Amino acid sequence: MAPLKPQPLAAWAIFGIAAGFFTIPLIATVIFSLSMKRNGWSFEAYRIVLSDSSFIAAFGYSLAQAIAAVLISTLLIVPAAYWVRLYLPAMKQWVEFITLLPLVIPSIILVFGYLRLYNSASWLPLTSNARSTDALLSFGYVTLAMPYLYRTIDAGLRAMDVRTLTEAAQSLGAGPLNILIRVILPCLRGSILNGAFLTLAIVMGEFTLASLLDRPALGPYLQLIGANRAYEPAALAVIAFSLTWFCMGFFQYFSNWRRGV
Amino acid sequence: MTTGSSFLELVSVQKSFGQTLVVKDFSLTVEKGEFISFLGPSGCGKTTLLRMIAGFETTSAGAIRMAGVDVTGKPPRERQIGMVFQAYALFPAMNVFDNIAFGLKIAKWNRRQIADRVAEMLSLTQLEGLSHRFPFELSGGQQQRVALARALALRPQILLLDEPLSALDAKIRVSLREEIRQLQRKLGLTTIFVTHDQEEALSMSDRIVVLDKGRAEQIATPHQLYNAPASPFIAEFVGKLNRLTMVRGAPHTGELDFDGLKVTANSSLHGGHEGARLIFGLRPEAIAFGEGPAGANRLSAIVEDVDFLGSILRLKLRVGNEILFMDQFNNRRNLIPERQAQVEVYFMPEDLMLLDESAGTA
Ligand SMILES: Nc1ncnc2c1ncn2[C@@H]1O[C@H](COP(=O)(O)OP(=O)(O)OP(=O)(O)O)[C@@H](O)[C@H]1O
Ligand SMILES: [Mg+2]
Repeated sequence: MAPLKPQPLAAWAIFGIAAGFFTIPLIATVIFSLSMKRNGWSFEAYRIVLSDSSFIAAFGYSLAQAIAAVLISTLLIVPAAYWVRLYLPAMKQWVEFITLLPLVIPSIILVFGYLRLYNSASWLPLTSNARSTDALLSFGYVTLAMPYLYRTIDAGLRAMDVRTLTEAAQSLGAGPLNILIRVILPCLRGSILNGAFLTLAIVMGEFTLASLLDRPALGPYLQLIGANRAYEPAALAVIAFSLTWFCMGFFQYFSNWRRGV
Repeated sequence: MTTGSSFLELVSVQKSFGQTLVVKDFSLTVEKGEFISFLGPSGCGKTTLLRMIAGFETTSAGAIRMAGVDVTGKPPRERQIGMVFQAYALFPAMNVFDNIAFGLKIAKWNRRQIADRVAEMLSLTQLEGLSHRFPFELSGGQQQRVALARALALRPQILLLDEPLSALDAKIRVSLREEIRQLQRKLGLTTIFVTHDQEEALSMSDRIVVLDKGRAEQIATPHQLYNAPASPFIAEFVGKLNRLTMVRGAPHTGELDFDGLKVTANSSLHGGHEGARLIFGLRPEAIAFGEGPAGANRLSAIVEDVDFLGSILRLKLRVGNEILFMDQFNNRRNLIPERQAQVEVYFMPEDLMLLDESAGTA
């Protein structure tokens, strides 16, 4: 490989443009969110947002949805990806294709499909009460998160020698369940945390499913505020952004801490 | 039902992947406490055979019995085997203690028993003090010791090792193989060891199974294998060998023509016609300097090259148009022959091993 000629000026220029592309709108949003009062800077917009009990409720609801989606996805995808890798390598491309479908099919179509299949007059009337609609929403989020979770988990499986580890465990008397729980899952901690973070990011901002299933999630709340207020949406955006970064740092920390990094 | 003292029996075992027959009609009887090596070139089916014994591959035909019980269709976890892999296969998220304790936890031993047994295994494999380390904090040799301890913790009936030393560097490989052998003797453990390293197989085994293209070419002690190879393939595969093409002289005299020189082979050489081309094998260490006793075949040779291997001196000799390799023990009182020097060497007729009688006519 030929070493690249160092061109510091051009490199810095490109870096500066890219950085500006991301940071300028962000800085503008922060400034705007702080200028609610006419006479100088203030946290008034933040105060209003954080003291609104329906924000707290919507945030909590979406967080619970995200956690449920991560748990269900993990239970579903880890065994599936493991099984495919070990016993059905020929099926791998088909499984990958299927896990990509949620990216191709708009969620509006997904949710109309749900409403047709699970309406109160159907054989499985999931939308007939609030709790079962919550469950349906979680399943929807599992579907939306699948492309990301499947990929992070599959990458985690690729990083270890699944076959040999499985055989080693089998020779020590372990059955499939024990192998999954004791051997495979602990090795996937980092991958699952990464996938969980992506799922969290998707679920916290998701609008279509929650809105059409009429559940009090953060997405519809943001939309409502955005349509009716000026400064509060900017404050909300900054809060969401900070929380996102906080979560990312948090996951990074926990996925590395075992190795003492 | 037990059949005599044989502990592991493979009866006409076969394995095919699709159309290709990878293991052909393989039969073997292993005594309790015996150390058996599977030796053979890459792709000859060693791993496949071992995996069939472990239960990771099904058998296409034939039967496998352990301690008199037919285990042919049983899954690995019902076979009470200990398995050690080339790539260690330690559980990455568990420390040394938990790795060794894994099988014991699955078997629902209680905490005290587990702690005692793990401590015993740690001392047996000289890993004391490392029980809280994670696999990535260990050297290759240490990891393989942990794998060994883990495999032995449950007191398996049979220990199966698939090239456990090939990922290690030369020094560790030799010391660990001695350790494995000592441990195996101490525990009286029936062991099958897969390797493509003939030195490893020769030094460790009670008996060696040489495989070629899925077939057992010879099953013998290291000594028999080296000194009385059953086939030309084995003669050439195990140890270094000179190939000598000779032309038969008058029948029944055992006299041969080696590039213009008269040579005698063992008199058991019968039949064949005058002028037939024969191929013989001769071990490098069967050649020595000097005239030798009466009846020795004497050659005068030119030293082409000298390879000093430490304890051994390997000389490349030219005899007429033929090249012969000769091994001598290093002796610091003797001078190393110069290149191009003329030397007199000899070998005994009985050291010639007939490899091929059908090499045509001169
Ligand atoms: N799962 C499989 N499907 C198809 N063919 C296989 C499979 N496993 C092994 N083989 C074939 O069987 C033959 C024997 O393989 P095996 O791994 O037993 O060889 P080996 O003696 O262990 O070789 P090496 O020294 O390289 O490890 C090879 O030709 C290999 O390609
Ligand atoms: Mg192999």
